[in-house]
Parts: sequence; structure tokens; C-alpha cells
Amino acid sequence: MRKIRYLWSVFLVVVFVIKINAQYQLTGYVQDQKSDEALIGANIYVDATQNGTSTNEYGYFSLELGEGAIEIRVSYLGYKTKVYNLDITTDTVLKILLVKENLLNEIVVKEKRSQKFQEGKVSLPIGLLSQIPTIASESDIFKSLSMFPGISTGREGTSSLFVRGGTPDENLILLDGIPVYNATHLGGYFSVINSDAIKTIDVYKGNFPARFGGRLSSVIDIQTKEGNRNETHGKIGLGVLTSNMMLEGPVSKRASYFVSGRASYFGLINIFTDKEKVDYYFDYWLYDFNGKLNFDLKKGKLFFSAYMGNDVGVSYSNDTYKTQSNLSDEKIKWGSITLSSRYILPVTPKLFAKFLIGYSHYHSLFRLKSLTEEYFINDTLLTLATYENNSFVKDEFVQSNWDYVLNSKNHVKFGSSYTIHHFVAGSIDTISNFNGHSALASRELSMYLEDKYKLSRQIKLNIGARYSIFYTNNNRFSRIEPRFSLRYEPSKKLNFSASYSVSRQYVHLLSSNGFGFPNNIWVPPTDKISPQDATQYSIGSGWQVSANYLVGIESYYKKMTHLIDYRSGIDPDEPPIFDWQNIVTKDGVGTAYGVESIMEKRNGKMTGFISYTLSWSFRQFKDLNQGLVFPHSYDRRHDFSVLGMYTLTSHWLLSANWIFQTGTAVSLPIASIPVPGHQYSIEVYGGRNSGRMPNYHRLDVGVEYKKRTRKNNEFKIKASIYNLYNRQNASFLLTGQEPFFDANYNQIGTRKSIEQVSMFSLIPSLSLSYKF
Amino acid sequence: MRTVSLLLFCWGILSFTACEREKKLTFEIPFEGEKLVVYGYLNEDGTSEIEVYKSQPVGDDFINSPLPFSEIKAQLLSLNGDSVPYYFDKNKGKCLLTGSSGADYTLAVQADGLSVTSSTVSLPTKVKIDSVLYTFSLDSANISMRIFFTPPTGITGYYAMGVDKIISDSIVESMDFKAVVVSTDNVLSPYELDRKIYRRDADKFVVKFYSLSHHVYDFYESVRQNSGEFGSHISDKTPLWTNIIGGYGFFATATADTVVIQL
Repeated sequence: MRKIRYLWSVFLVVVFVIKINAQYQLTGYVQDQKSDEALIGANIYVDATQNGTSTNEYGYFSLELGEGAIEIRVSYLGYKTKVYNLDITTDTVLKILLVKENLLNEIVVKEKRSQKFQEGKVSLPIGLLSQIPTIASESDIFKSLSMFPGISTGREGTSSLFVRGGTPDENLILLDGIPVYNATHLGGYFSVINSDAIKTIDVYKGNFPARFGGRLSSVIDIQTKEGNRNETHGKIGLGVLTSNMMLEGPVSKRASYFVSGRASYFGLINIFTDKEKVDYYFDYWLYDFNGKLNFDLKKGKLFFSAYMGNDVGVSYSNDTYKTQSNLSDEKIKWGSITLSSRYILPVTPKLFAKFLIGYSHYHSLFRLKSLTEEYFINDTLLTLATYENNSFVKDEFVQSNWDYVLNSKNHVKFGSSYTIHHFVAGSIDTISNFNGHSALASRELSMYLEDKYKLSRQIKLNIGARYSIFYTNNNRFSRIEPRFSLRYEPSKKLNFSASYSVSRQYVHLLSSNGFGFPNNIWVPPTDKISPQDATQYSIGSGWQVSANYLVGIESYYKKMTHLIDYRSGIDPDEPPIFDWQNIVTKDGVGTAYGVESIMEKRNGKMTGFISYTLSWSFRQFKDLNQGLVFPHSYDRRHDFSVLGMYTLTSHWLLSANWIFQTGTAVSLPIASIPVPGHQYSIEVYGGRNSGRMPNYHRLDVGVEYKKRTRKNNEFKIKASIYNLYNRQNASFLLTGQEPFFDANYNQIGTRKSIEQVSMFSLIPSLSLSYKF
Repeated sequence: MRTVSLLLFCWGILSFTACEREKKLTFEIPFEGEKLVVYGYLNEDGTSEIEVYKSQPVGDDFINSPLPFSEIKAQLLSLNGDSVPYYFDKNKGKCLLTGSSGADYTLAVQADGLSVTSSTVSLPTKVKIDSVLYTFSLDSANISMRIFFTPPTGITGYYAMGVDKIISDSIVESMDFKAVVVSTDNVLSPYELDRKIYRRDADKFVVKFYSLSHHVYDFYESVRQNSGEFGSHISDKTPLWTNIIGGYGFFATATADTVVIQL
């Protein structure tokens, strides 16, 4: 209660200390003229007073102006700037419709982006998504993000993101404000979000605004499209691994819809297979669906959105060896469902409200059924075994968020959220006669307050705090998370910034290997296992070198506490989900620091960027590595990316990217020794993660051809080659051993080997799409 | 139509080439260099035993019977300056111990130009069996036994059991052997040994009750932690515990008390 009073006091100070100089309020929405789609981040600027604002995630803005004639300039990337001459005598509401740059210039202009460097934040241009060459020409947001400094993916081919020395579970992935627990398809090869559905992606690597919370490392804020309010449009895409479709259009004058879906067709290979007649059978499907309905009400707007994505794998085998036969039937399935309903309205010209009711569900299942038959002379022994792990985490929540334009210098945001988390796990093992089920409900209440304060024309501050309480199983945890960032712009071309943020993560992920398979189990804190905390400091600078070139550099230091990890000797592929507290070691400390730099060419026929990150990430646990500090699995000393795109003509686009990363840190044996009582030698490890896999690098190239039909529909062919020079990058290492014998076939010893498994060599691919 | 057919054909071909193709390459691991590996048990029962080996590169052939050293020397050093030499038969050595419980010892080994010393180990008082209760049933073919002992105060104890069979007559073909070691003051959790003695002929069992120093436990625990199943991914491992300075293995104390069961 004392903490709530403290937060309220802070709010009152913010409200009353600042001199209120009430004038008139200009408010409204900025939208695309053709589709009425809200434009997020459009700028509304008054040259005379050098005062301005930008639209929020619903395209809404509110700007305080003095009385009299005034000229305002409304701009958005890739759109024609619109100038309004207004005579302000009262509060004014505008609906601003912007027009895309004309078609002839589109190729050059479409990549036009803000010339301001944003410290600790990456705003991924959606146009880039389809242009970056990827495996099987599948546009992938996470792989695209991993080319930016401070963000990297895990092993070869995987999509899990590691941000500033953190782990994938420390990333808060928000899809229209709803947290998505599982981010990848196919064991981590594709991200679950279909890029056709995405309108904007913002990634916060540091200086998280106070409105975000619940994870330590990053916030990936994805807003999906609302749907064209004027005309029906669609897209059909055909790739080598998946196909996709998208349809959008008006439902009525005041409503629109957007749907998109994607499905793989690996399973088609088995469509004519008779399971009964084969000894081995494998089937795999992945699919996802996004849908959104939007209604304009008399006051405000109402949105309904849904997402569903699943991976389903089924395998069947029938082995017979000598006097034994074994039938096994295996199923893995994992996926997410999110549902939300949002209502937004401008309560007053200065106050904008957003209400959200949401549901997020992540489930995973692994089931193995086997029937073993052993034949004896007069008898047959049948053994039927079932092993099943089934878990899910489910969130139900309500949120209210408020934007309040206090005056031309202060833009205040505040809100609260109440979430009920359900953690359910079930396990069956008929061999050990185990059948267990656990269910736990936890409640989380959070509130925040932040103020975007313009101290002067050069200095801007974002000050805020977040307070959260988490109740679980008679335990109560709470924390205040202060957030602060400062931006200093001595000139239009140069800026400096500094930030400080504290973040807390209540939920833990028990994950075996970062591959995103369904043995990822989310668990709450307990009386033994504390929530995780992180404190991050960062400084940075951006410099607009010329009209086309931008350079940015940042450095950060992050300290994480109360981390968990598996105890040594635990087989993480089969986590016993009921006594999980006994298989983890707790109270780990993590340290991550580094320097990130990027040089971008944002406009012109040739666009792209070069990014380089020099970083360190360490962990220390009392019970691991003899208590000594060791490198984190994804400690990457060097991470270098080059991306280039060249617009040859209005039809042809060439693209290429080259990536270099220091090899993944692994625990490698440094010698082999005999041990009494052991038939085989054992390996001596120098220290946890003291070795490295070979450095990772590859070159991808792509070419895109697109043509518009007479009806202005677009046909696009994209060809790409992943890993052009066929580099054998290591996905993981395997140990193996085989016996060797003397002349009389007596085993005299064993021979061990370590193999590097490479999964993706040169992969050409082709995809087709038709947009109407 | 021709263009569309060509594109679909290319797409079909690429669908297959885009599938995962796994390749395995030999991964060379640098060797840190040869080191001595020493396993030493110190006791006051008349002999102190050690085994000495050499470490080798991970990919090299591991031979079950290691080759003998060309030259090997070892000495047990007590803190008062006394030293007792070991006498070697191949890579195994024994020395007569004249020390007593409570004394501190270190081990020094030299072989083929390599040398190691151990950390100092204190020889504890022997933990003895207080009493034994057992039942034997030939009909149900099982032996059930409870061994009681008093753990020494102030010392963390590690205990183990071993069973040897002595054949003098063939009366047992298959036998369940179950023994439970119970500390007399019930402070320690009972330790169970459950063993199926299958199709073996024996009428006498020698049950050895060992009291071990923590060095043995620490070493084998770190071996266990590093022993993932072969064929699994190389995952997170931990450095091998050792108290052999400059080498691997352990120098520990192991005293034993014995119970003989005559069927």
C-alpha cells in the first residue's frame, strides 16, 4: 500500500510541479488515404514553434497549440507530406489522410526512413522483411532482426533471439499487446508470426518505457494490420516449404477485417502412404492464422484480434531385431493461441484511453507409445509403455492504458494490468508407474506511470516507474522498477543519450537447448526460486553523416540476478516437471556488456547497413563450474552483418547479406582419462563453455522480380540462395564411440569421436506471390 | 502457360533441395597435453593403494589395459617429514602405512617425466560396524540384512558397501541380496544395497562396509555429471573435480569393516 501511495505521489508531482499553460488542443487520426489503415508514428510538426508530436499505435495524436493562425506539417515515411494552415480558436479535431508517394518514385522512396538514430530501439522496416534472403525464401522477422546490432539468433538455422546477452525466454513478444509465449515454428527455424500480417515491429533492447514489463532482455512489440476499410485486397504466396494467403477489406462503412494464414506441406509427402504397410512413417505440419476485425464506433474504435499457430509432428516405426520387435508411435505438438478485444477512445482532447481484455495460451505435448514383443520358445512377452509430457501456460488479463497530454512539454502515460496465469503440467510414465498432474494459478497486478518530458528543444527525458505484485502458491513478490532515459540533441544531425532501467521477470522457462521443442515448460517463482531481476545502463550517440548515411553507436552494461539453470548432470531433454525445483540451480548472476554500432544507408537505389557488435556475456552459479564465472552459451565476442539491397529497375531488386559470428561457446573436453569402475574412458572438461564451435559465417543472395498487371495487381517472384559458398556451419556437436578388437575379436578398447553436425548447406529456393 | 509450367517445375525441384540436409564433419579438439591420473586410497589396514595412468587426447584409442610406464615412482609423505615408498606392479602400487588415524599425508608421483602431488589428506578413525541383523530364506531365495554403525561426530561421512561371494559348496543358484546400512543414532538416512545374485554358486558372502572421505564422492559426482549418454549433444559440462595438483584423479581415505555371512 505504501508503494502505491508512493507512485501516486510521483504522479501528482509530475502533474502539479509543471506549470500548466492551457491552450487549445489539436487532435485526430492519421491514416492511409487508400486503405484508411492507421499510420503509427506519423509526425505532426509546427515549424513556427518547433513543437510536435507523433501518432500512437492507433494513429491518434494530440497536440497543444496557441491561439491564432498556424501551419502544421504532417509527414510519414513513404508518404507525401501534407501541410495544413489552420486558424486555431478552439479545440480542433482532424482526420488526416496521407497519400503514398507516386508509383514512379516508389522504388526509390519506399525505403525512406527516419534519419534519427534511436538508442536501444530497432524499428524494423516491414519492406525489409520480404527482401532479405532467407532459408526457403520464407520472410522471417526474427532472422531479419538478428542482423541488427545487439540481437542475435542461436545455432545455425534457428530463430530464437538473444538480446544483449539474455536468453530467448527473456524477450517479451507482444502481438497487438498480447504476450506470445512460443515464438518459433519447426523447432526454431521459423518465427510464428506471419510477416504478411505485420504493420510495425519495434524492438526495445534497453531503456524500456515503463509501460512494458515482465521480461528482462527485450520487448518485441508487433502491431498487426487492421485491414483495408475501402477495398478488398488479398495475396496468395507459394513457397518451397509453406504457402500463405492474406485477405483484407471492408465489412461495412465502419468496419474492416484482415485475415492471413500459412501452412506447410511437408505432410503432403505422406498423403499416399499407407501407415499399416511401412516400417517408418513421419508426418509434420505447421500452420498459423491471424485475424482481426475493426469497428468504428460513435466514440472510439473496437478491435477483435486472434492468432493461432501450431506445430504437429507424428512418427511411427516398426523395428524387428532377432527375437524382439518394437512398435513406437510418437507425437509432438506445440503452439499458441491469443485472443484479444480492445476498445480505444479519446476521452477528452488531452486524454486517450485504451482498454484491453486478452487471453494467451501456450501448450506443448510429447507422447510416446511403444509396444515391445519379445519372443521366447514357448511364450511371448508383451510390454506396452506410454510416456507423456503435457504442459501449458495460460494468461487471462485485463488492461487499461491512458495517454494524457499534459501540455506541450509533458506527455504522460499511465495504466494498470491484472493477469491470472495458469501453469499446468501433466506427466504419465507407465514404465515407472507415474501419473501426475499439477496445476497452479498465479495472479499478477502491475501499474505504471511514465512522462515524456521535453525539458528544452535539445533535451528530452522519459521518466517512469512500474510496480508489480505477483501472488503464487501463498507467496507474494513485488518490486518497483524505475526507468529513465535522457536524449540530448545539440543539432538536428547529432544526438546523445543515456538510460537506466530495472526490470523484473516472474516466470521462468525450463528449456533444454534453445531449439524451441515442446519440452519448454514455463514455471512461476516459488518460495525457493525467486523472480529474476535485471539492471541495465546504456549510453549512445547517433550522427546523420549526410542525407543518406546514418551512424549509431551504443554501449551497455547489464547485470542480472536470481537466474536459474539446470544442475550439472541433469538430462535437460527430459525435465521431470514436478520436482523441477530440484533439478535447477538458483540465484545465478549474469553480466553482459558490449558495444554496438551500425552504419546505415537508408535512402537511394542502394540501401542497407553494416552492423557490428562486440560483446561479453557471463554467468555465475554457486553450484555450476565450481562456482567460477563462465561464458554464457550465447556469448558472442564478434557479431558482424552486412546487408545490401540494390533496386536495379522498377521491376528488379537484388539483395545480399553476409553474417559473421564468433562460434557458440560450448563445453569441450580437453583430455580423456580412465576411471576405475568404468569400462570406457571419460572426458575431462576444462570448464563450462570454455571451448568454442567454429566461427559462423555465410553469404545469402536474392533476386526479386515484380510486375504490375493492368488492374494494378502485383505478381512477384523471389529467388534466393542461402549459404552461397556452402559453408558447413556447426549446428551442434555429437559425441560417439565404437569398440575395437584384437585379432581374436576380443574387445580391447574403445575409440571416441566428436562430430560437428551441419544442417544447412547451400539451399536455393523460389517463392511466388500474387497480390490483388 | 509455358512460363508458368517452367516456374512450377523449378519450384518442385527446389522444394526437395530446400529440405534439411544433415552433414557430419570430424571435429578436432586440441589436447591440453599429457597429465598423470592418480587414484589413491589411504587406509590404516596395512596397505595404501594407488593406480597411476596418463591422460590422452579425446579421439585416441582407449585400451582397457593401459600400457605400463617405463619408470614410475611414488611416495607417501607425512607432515612430520617421513616418507613411505610405493612398490609398483605395472601401474598399480602399494605401500605399507605406518601412520595412524588423525595424521596428515600427501602423495607424490613421478612417471615418464611427469609429476604430481596431492592435496593433504587426513586419515580418519576407522568407522566400525556396531551390529548386524540378517535373515536368510532358501525358499524365497533372499538375504535381508541390516548393518548398524555409529557415524563419527563432526565429520561428514560417505559410506559404501560391496559384496563378495565365496564358493565352498553349491547351494544357491539365484538369490536376492538386500542390505540396509543404518546409523545407530538414526541421524543419517539408511543406505540400501539391493542386488540380484543370479545363477551364481556361493554359500558365503563377505559384505564390506566402507567409510570414504569426501574426495571419492566429489570425484565420482563430477564424473557422473559429465557422463551424458553417448550420442547426445555435447551440452553443459563441469570441470572434473580433483585433488591431484597438476593431474587428475583423487587421493582419498577408505577404511573398511567386514561382515561374513555363512549360509
